[in-house]
Amino acid sequence: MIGPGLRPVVAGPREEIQLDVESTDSVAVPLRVSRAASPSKALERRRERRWVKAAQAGSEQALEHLYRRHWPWAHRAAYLVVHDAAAAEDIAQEAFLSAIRSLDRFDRSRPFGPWLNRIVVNRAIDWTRARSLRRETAGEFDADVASATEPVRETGSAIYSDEVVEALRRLSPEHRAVVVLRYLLDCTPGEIAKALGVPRGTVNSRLRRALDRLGAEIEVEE
Amino acid sequence: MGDLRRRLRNAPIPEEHEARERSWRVVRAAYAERGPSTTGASAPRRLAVALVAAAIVLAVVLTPAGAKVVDFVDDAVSPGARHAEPALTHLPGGGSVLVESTNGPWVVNSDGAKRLLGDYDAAAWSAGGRFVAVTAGRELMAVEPTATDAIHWSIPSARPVTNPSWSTSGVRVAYLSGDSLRVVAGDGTEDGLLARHVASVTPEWRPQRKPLPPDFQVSGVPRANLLAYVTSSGRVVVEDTDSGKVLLRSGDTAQRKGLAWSSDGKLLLSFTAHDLLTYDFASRARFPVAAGMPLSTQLQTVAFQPGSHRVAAITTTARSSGPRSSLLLGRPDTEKFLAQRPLSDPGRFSDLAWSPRGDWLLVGWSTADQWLFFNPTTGRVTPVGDIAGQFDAGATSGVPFPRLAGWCCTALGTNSP
Repeated sequence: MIGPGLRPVVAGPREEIQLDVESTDSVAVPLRVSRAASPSKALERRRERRWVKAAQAGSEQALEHLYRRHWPWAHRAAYLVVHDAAAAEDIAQEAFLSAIRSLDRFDRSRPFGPWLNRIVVNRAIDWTRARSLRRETAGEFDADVASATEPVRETGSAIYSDEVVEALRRLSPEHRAVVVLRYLLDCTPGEIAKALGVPRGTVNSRLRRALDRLGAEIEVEE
Repeated sequence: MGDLRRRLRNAPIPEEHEARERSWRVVRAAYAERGPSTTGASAPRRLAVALVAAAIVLAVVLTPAGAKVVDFVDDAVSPGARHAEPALTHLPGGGSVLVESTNGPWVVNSDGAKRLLGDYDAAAWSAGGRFVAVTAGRELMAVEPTATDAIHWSIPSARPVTNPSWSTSGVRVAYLSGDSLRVVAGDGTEDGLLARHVASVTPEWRPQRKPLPPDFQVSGVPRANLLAYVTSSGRVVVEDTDSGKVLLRSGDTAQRKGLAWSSDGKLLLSFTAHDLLTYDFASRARFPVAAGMPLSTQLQTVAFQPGSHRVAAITTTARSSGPRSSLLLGRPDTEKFLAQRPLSDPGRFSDLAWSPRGDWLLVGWSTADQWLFFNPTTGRVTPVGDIAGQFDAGATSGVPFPRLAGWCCTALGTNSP
């Protein structure tokens, strides 16, 4: 099983994802996805089971609870693997649509988040691989084309540049995926192996190599 | 590794809020349209239903009466037999659709009300939907969509005018005058030649996220008005119409049928009858798309979904029993391009248009004289029949099927012309 829902990072009285729902203007304020607290894993699981059950019965409100709880993680995980905002949105959205299509058959005894995140990460890897296979250098572009055609942004693009994101971008999609699963979604190596369909030893070696590469490029506190 | 964990969780993600809310609208719509839950059905009840269904199938297959039923059903699903609404009473995706008919362009409003704009030929929305660029012989005009023959401005041309295209900034209109590409300001002034010897393909302006405020609607704004067009030799060119700087000139030549930009302006797609090529302006890469289509299959048209890099395409396959058309969906920058084929029917799909929010596709099915409103999230199809007749009162058979010229308006154009 994978997913952040199983491993609250910070203990405390309440557990919920803080969403800046008021910040709907164009300034990209990162969603705060750090989890503030859960009384217990079991309580969290029970609450999610209730939402799934209610959503299966037709409650849009319950679906929205599930969506707002899991979207930030799914979207963030997809983006950190593909490094393409539009693709990340599509991948996360399609994962939710898959979830809705399978909602009636969903086994409520299993956690929702890990299942969703497994879809997201695998789709993100597929997308990145396919894109790199298909890519050609386009000599027809003018030398200044990248800067000259930068879309007009409502906000400064500097806000999107981040050292760790840039360092991740230089890893292979498979290495990015294990880092995202391990350190964003808090999966164990065994859970990652299951999610990606690779041996546990492969996960460990990928993690080690990825961390070595990241450590060489950014300062990461052990 | 707490530091890495923290940094991954706090790394800025572009358009995080907007993506969440956009996707929630899609997810909620998909949920609202899904069928009733089956989880409550008990096992004995499901078994009973299955037995009854099996009995019905056996009766249909094994009895003469059943064979007649099969024949009837076969007839019923023949070309043109999607059960269609007899008239257009509303647009599922809202907004307004621009339609070109033999009588001239029409505007169809969200409540299904239609207005003939006048005796014009080609038509194109302005970014905000306040005007429509129309052509009439050797004249280009801007007319108001809320009235008939409400001409805002017009300019004459030495040669026949075709393929108008209004920039998403609202401040430029491109059009073809014979085989020359010309650009005029959005108020009908500053008409000038941009390129000679261009192909008869509608030039496409690179979308902008926001319209320019009126104070900036002058030619001095850099990189505001990038136009993609096809030369007569089949090269794709992207040019800054204000500075004249050419940003892309494709090395290959091809018989290109059309161009399309993604709404974020990152991807430009050009297509021929048999292949597509995507230019990625963010990474300066290009992605040839091998759709695996046989020679008997031709691409008719392609369009990006607003707010996404998904593409819808129409193909038509020639077969001995007659042509068959399909609607395909996919992403042009991946291997799985056009992997989905949600619609496939006998005859010809003529064209398509995305709703402004990208939640509905309108597909013209000329053979069946129908419009198919297709929701790609839920798979729901709402057919509307007698389309030719609705845009040509008193039409007799043989009237050309109306052409879709755009579904307005995108959010970015709400304050622009």
